[in-house]
Amino acid sequence: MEALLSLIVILPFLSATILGLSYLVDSKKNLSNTYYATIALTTPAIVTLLSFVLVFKMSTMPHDTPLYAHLFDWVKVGQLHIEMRFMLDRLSMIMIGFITFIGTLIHIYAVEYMQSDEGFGKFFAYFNFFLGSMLLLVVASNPIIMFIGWELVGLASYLLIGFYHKVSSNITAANKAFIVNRVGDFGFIVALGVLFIALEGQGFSFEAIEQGIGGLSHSTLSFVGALLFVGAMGKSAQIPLYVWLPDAMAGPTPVSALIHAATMVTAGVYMVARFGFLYNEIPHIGEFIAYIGAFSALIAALMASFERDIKKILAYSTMSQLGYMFIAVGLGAYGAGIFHLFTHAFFKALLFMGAGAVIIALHHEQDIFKMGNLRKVLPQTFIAMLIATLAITSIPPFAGFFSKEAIINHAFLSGHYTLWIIAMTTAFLTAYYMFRLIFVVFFAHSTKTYPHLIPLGKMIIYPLIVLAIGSATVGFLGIEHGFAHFVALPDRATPAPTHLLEYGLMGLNILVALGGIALAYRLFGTNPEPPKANIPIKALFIHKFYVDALYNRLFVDTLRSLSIFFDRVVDGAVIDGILGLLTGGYKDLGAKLASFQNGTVKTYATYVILSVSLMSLALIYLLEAQ
Amino acid sequence: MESIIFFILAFFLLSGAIMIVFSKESLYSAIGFLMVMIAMAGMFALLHHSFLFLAQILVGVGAVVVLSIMIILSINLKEENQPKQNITRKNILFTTLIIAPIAGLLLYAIAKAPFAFAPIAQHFGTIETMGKVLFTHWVLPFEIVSILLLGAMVGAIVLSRRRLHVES
Amino acid sequence: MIWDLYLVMPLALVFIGALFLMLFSLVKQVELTNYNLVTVAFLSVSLIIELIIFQNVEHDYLFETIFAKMFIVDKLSTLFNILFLSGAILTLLINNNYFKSRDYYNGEFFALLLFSIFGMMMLAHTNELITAFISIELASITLYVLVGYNHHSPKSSEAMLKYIILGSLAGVFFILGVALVYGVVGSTYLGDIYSYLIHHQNSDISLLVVGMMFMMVTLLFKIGAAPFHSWVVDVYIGSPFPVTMFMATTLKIAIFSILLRLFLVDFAPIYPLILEIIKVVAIATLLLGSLLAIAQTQLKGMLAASSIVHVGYMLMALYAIGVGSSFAASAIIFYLISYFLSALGAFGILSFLASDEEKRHLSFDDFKGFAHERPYMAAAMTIFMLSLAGFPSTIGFLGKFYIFMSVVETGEILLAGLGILIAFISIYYYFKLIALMYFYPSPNPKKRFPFAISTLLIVGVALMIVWGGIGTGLIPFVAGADGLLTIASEALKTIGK
Repeated sequence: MEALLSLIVILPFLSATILGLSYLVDSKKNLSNTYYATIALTTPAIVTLLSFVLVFKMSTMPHDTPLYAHLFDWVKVGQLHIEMRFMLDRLSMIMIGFITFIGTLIHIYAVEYMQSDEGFGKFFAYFNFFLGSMLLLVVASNPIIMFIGWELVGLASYLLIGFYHKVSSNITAANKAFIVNRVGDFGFIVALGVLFIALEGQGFSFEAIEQGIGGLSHSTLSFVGALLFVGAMGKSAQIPLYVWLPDAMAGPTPVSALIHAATMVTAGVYMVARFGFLYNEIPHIGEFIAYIGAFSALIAALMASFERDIKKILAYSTMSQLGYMFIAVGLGAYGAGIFHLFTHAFFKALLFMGAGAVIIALHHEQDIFKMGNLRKVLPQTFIAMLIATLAITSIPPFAGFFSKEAIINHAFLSGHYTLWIIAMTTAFLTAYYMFRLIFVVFFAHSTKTYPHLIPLGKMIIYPLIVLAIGSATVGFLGIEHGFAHFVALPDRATPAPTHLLEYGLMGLNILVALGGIALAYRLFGTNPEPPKANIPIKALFIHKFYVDALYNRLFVDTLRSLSIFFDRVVDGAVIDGILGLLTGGYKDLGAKLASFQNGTVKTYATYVILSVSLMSLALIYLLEAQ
Repeated sequence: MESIIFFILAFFLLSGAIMIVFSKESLYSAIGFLMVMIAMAGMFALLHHSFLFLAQILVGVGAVVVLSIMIILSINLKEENQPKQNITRKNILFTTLIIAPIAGLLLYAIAKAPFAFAPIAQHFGTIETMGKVLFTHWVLPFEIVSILLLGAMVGAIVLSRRRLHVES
Repeated sequence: MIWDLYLVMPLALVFIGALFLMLFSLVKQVELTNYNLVTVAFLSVSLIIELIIFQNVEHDYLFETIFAKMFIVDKLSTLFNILFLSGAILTLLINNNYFKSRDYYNGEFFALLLFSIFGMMMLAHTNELITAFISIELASITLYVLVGYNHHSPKSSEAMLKYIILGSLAGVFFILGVALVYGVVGSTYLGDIYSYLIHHQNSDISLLVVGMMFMMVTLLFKIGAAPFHSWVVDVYIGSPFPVTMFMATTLKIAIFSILLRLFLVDFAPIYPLILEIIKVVAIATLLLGSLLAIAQTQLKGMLAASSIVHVGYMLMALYAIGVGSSFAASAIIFYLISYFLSALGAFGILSFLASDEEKRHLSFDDFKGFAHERPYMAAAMTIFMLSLAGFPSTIGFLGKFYIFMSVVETGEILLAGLGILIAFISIYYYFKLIALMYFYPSPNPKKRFPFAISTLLIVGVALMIVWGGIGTGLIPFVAGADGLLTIASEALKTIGK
């Protein structure tokens, strides 16, 4: 069992290494895509199998006996004892289950999607690396190892977003993702440092921290909790660190699917859930998280409503759905949050892969207003996308309904009515913009034809079908809070609702969603018009609230002028000047000294004797002094 | 009586040493060297150390000095061929100045040292005792010295053969 | 008795190897590589035995009934022997190409090298001052000849003569010191000196201190510390590459073996009296060495001068020993290993190039665009330079780190600060080479990586340096380089009092 757990993490890294080395060595491109694809697909497939085996074995055991796999002691200096040890409890079990499963499907899809790309091998090396990093993050048994996984995920995403590195805007996007994530990571690492110091060496594994935080002051915990959430903000693209997410669409579509569905963005939610025991001590920070999540959800939904790039719409919807998850985990409904994470993985992967299929079929066209009537040409894609859209708009019985309902109801029942209203509004907007996408892409312009359509292969279609089935059905796991009970996270209790209230809320949710769909149909059902910035408020939405411009002005420009100042004035004139004087003097001195090395033995011998003589003088002095 | 002999020997020893340093002809220097060696042997004899006396005469005088005199004679070293030595007053003063602290330190320390010498044992310095000591107590350094000599010999052969090689 | 025979095996093997090669060199038909391999074979067997001994030995005197307590076998001496032997093996194998490219190497070269190693091993084992002196001389005299081995080059002969004269001059002080020590203690055994000092705390020990200082002079000269460093650059440049490599790495380690033995135990009670002198020497070594290194135009000269700086760091730790640092001695051993690997690699690349292209004097300019011509070699060279400069993620960084830690531990913040400053200055001359290699176009086309013992070993050494730097627990299931520190401190514990 332990070996299986270790293998799950090690295998992807191993195959990433093999792929990377093969790609490097094979400069003449002798190796076929089949070679790379075989290695790249076998690994996730095996890992998926292994994780399923573990899930089935573990789910019969009681939830408070996690499985540990100790690899080696990493650092052992004084109190700092960091083990490379993996932990499999119910939470990480669910995570590795869907990460590996959906990851594998995305890998399969990517084989066809990336087929004609020159860097095929490189892509899959990164891809496997990405998967491995995420798995490391998830099964880490202490925050340090988790942080390593966290950083590796950031690195992998950087490499993948900038994969089409010949276009400079893609590089900018990759840099943006990396740098914005770095801001979050800073919060994370500072939080870990404070926590470590505060715990005074009682051990730093999750279980040790859980036992140790009882003795910590409330303010310390609040500080740590808030900083940890800064880390989560970065990875999970919440206000104010969300700006990288839409730009990250620069990467190939499978990358977006992987980032948005199974890996990366889920890390923040996972981390907050993992530290659930800590957040339960500081509910006010939890509320703050929930509000951040709610506003992120709302604002992302607003931006998505006015976006015309198909991938960016989906990107904003991810941010919006992540907002829901943060509402849940912030309010202590960790089970509900993770459940939404779980269902979201299915339908968001499906949406991205569907979008990717459309993009590929239309020769890399991403503007939805240049599409239309695709229902007839891409029927399988249409059905899959429709199922995913129904899932995300929480129409029963599709997956999103159960998970989102649990979150919205939790907000209502725990008495956070503001959050509840925001969540409902967002649900309405979600239905609106998602069906706007469906109507514009698949229904509108019913006479439009596509003479140069690229046919889609099986490796694109089959994963879509599997995920469509998943999106339609996995929601049933959440009936009667079954999922939340299974995960067994330290949820904060809410008053139990009456049956009438429960059905009322459920009906309201469905009604809101249907309202959104109706509005979308009315506006975009037949002859859609691209959004125009004709009134100020719309301009605000279309320009994403000018946040990018604001950040540029606030941080980028100020920093740039500061660094120019440092470069030109401080570094150029002051430091270089001083250094120049110093080093110049030192070099001259060295040259002078070297001239004493005149190469005559006599001189050297004199030096020796002279030195001994000086030492003798010193010794006489020292002996006299004692 | 002993101290008279000691001072006579010391006189020869020092004047020999001065001769080595100051004479302009290499041959005179070599002769000064010879004086030093012989005087040194005399010192050993004065200490009743017959083995070292013999070794000094055999090795120091017989081998080292004679060899160096032979070399000087055979390569016919003339004054104009030698590197210029400027034995000026300034140099002598400088040398004295830098040697003085070393000598001073030695004198200072020796003066302060609590020497408590045991009287010389019977048979001290005879060949027999030396042999016994060398082959029992000091056998390890003795053997390593032989290895040292072997190594030095190989080195000397390599160097001299190299010269032949260059000339041919 | 059998155990004693076992203990003496490594030395005996080296000596027999020397005799064998000496006689064998008469046979003219033998290829040079075969001499080399035979030498390596002798050394390897000896190394393996030493490794086994290291596991089993604590503190032992060899043939105590015959040699009294002159020949000591403990973990420290065994550890040092392991270093000499592996240093010699690496030197010989890395220079395999170089030997072949020059016509003046022959069997005697290897015999002399083995004699020299024998001397060093003896030095590590000695428990008696006269034996120590003879061992130093044995190691040095053979080296003198090796320095002048290149009979085509007047520079080589000149270097040899310089080394002989200055070396003998410096050697004189050791024997003078021994005489003074004997005069006071009445014995030249190391243990006797210590017990004399313990039992005669009230009597005047000035003469003993003077003797200690004179012995120190010789040892400082041999490791090339300022102000006795003037010979280093000339002799290193003048000698053939393999010899330079051997002197810069192995000989230095050998001298430190006796230095540690003397100053950790026997002179420990009076060592504080000359501490101030050691401090000045350390500072002077650091400053003068780095000044010299900056002024060098030849790479060999730069490496020679920078080796003075590295000695300066170790002297800093030697000073820390006297002030009472607990792990300065281990830090010195670790630093020796780290420097040994880095310098070996750097000299190895130089000798490889010199063997390949008939370049006599490798100057900095010869390395312009080297990275484009030989990317793998340039990468290895970069690693060596980074390690010598003490850049993090190399073993050189850890070496410096431990040294500075030990100095800081004694409260000498200023001295540690100076060391760090000198380390920054050293970046100038090390990184100059890296910059030249990478930022200039190459005049020659790209060459294939030549697969040979030499090059593969160079790459292996480079990997070891990186392993030493980041392998400390990062690479699972492999012992980290910090294990070396543990081994060193274990070895130091066995020297006893």
